[in-house]
Amino acid sequence: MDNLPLKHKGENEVKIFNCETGMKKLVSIGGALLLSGLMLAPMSSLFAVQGMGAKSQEAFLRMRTVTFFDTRFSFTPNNRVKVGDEFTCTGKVMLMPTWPQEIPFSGISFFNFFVPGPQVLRKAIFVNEKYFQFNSVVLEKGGVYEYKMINQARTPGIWPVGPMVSMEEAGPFIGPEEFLTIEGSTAGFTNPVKTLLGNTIDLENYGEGRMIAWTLLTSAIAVVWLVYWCSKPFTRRLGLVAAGRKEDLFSPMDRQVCFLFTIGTIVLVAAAAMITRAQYPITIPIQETKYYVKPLPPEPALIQAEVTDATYDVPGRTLSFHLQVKNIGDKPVVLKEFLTANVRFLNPDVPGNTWNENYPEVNGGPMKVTPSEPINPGETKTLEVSMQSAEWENQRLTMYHESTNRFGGLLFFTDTSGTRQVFAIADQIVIPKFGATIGGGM
Amino acid sequence: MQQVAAEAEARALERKFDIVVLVSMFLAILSGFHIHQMLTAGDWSFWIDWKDRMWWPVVAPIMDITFPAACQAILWTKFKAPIGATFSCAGLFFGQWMNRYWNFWGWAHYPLNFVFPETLLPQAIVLDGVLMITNNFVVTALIGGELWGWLFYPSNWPMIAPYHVPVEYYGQLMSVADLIQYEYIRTSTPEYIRMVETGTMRSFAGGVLGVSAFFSGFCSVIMYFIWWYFGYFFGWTKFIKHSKV
Repeated sequence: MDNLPLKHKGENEVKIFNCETGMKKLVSIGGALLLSGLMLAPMSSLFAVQGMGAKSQEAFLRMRTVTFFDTRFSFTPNNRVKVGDEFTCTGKVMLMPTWPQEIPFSGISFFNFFVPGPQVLRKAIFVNEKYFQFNSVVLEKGGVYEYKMINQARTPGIWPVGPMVSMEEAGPFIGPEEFLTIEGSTAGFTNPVKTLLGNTIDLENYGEGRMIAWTLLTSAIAVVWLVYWCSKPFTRRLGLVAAGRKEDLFSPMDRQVCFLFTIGTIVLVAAAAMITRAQYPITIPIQETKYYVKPLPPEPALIQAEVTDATYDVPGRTLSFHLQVKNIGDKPVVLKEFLTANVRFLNPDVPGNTWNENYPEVNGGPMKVTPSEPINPGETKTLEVSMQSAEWENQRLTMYHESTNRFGGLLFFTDTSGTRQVFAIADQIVIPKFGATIGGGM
Repeated sequence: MQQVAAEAEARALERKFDIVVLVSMFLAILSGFHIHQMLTAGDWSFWIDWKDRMWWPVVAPIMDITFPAACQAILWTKFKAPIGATFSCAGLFFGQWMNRYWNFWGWAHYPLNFVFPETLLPQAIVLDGVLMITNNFVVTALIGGELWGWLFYPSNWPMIAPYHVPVEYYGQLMSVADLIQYEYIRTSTPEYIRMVETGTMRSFAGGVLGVSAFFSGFCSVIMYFIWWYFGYFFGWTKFIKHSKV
């Protein structure tokens, strides 16, 4: 095989595949590519900005549990801050009144600001203005809560950020996100805090010197202990022990060293603990409790509403439902918006109801309401609400291939004075319409 | 002369072989112990605000006496080397520091004072020392196991004490550790996930630490026995007679 010519001068070039050489080349090229990929993979985060993965959660979970609305970031529209700058995220959440049975409801919750790690500092989160949320809070179904999150930029980069609420046993519920660019350098960044003992500390490195010193001291003692024993021939001990010559392995000095290390370590630990106690006479344990936060008082009631049926047109990507609405206020009312899983659908027939690029939610497109005329005081109307949008698929909000086909979301009604009522569709079954008959017949 | 040179060469070769064996053992124990520790007591080790007075001194020593006991079973019964506990804990400590330094600090940007690991080395030296002095694994379990549990908190108190200094923040009382966890966001770890002391018990000298240390020592004794036998079982050796080779 090796003697076969690869080329014949003056003739058409004939390549004969050498199996062994070819495989070697293939393996080496493949290996090099794999290695390069592995090396470059961590760097991909530098240029491939990723979100928080909300789409990986089931549609019914995102539509029927916790809904974020009125979310605002103080850094819009530029979405740029410098290291050390403070910014806020404000908004409201509703815990849907009919919580899906598939998801446990504990009520024990934690308002959080999502960001991939401590790239921003969470300086404070206020719930319903006055509650500074430090430990977890207990929330209730159907409640609306207002939050204000104060954060400080810490690490340069482009980060997906936004509000979230985590609930014990249920998991994280993710609000609308923005990509925030943090500019500048971390050099010189400090995070000073004054303790109750009167001294000011920098949380960026507080206690590190002491921790490293104790780590090095205890490690040094351990290393000396190991070196003492490992400097003696090691593997041959196996044979000597097997041969019954255990006692030959220890000298009197070995026993003295052992005694010294054992007692010395105990004394050192006791002394260090006592010295530390003297250095830090006032300490407190980790603080842990949970407290109840009352929801916001209910908004004035403008309407009573009920969804009577809902369908999802699969090929047309259209969610439609009939809504029976009774105006119980004293002014005409219109349906302005539908919001679910951080996707907003605006009714274009309402004057001025246009999309603002500063909204952090996803623009689902127009919401068609028929009839489009306002509902007068005392009047009851059945509205046909229809939303055709690719976002049902893009945001993975279709349910026809899942075990639960019920949707939820918030309807925003407003009267002529601008008063708003938020109405929750919490548990509405939706029937998929598959269009043309495809297979499945006898 | 030739015999002397040959012996020197043999010793040098033996030393190289020793190093290969020791380094291989170190890396193998490091990886096994580190994974075990992260799976069973990881969060108490990862985060400063999990290092409380009740759960941490119970969970960490009980879960961490495992590999030291198993390594002692092998290194003491087969090699009569009193380094099993220190050797494994040094491996764990090295692995933990690599993880905290490169991943937690270098990659995710957590400050080191939030994520530094606890030290087990003082207890490990004592455990090795007790085994060598007594030359009896039952006594080592009873005395060394208890000391293992009792020494855990004081061994680490010099490092964690500064983080228990009180702070008032927006009208709330917090320890510095609480404030660090509050400000430095753990995206997927909401506060309620912490398993830390709640409702301080006043029955025993005003605190829970003594009870935790005693219980930790008691459980460490039991765990020592169990894992000693694991080590003994997996360290089983079979010598083949020369005539059969």
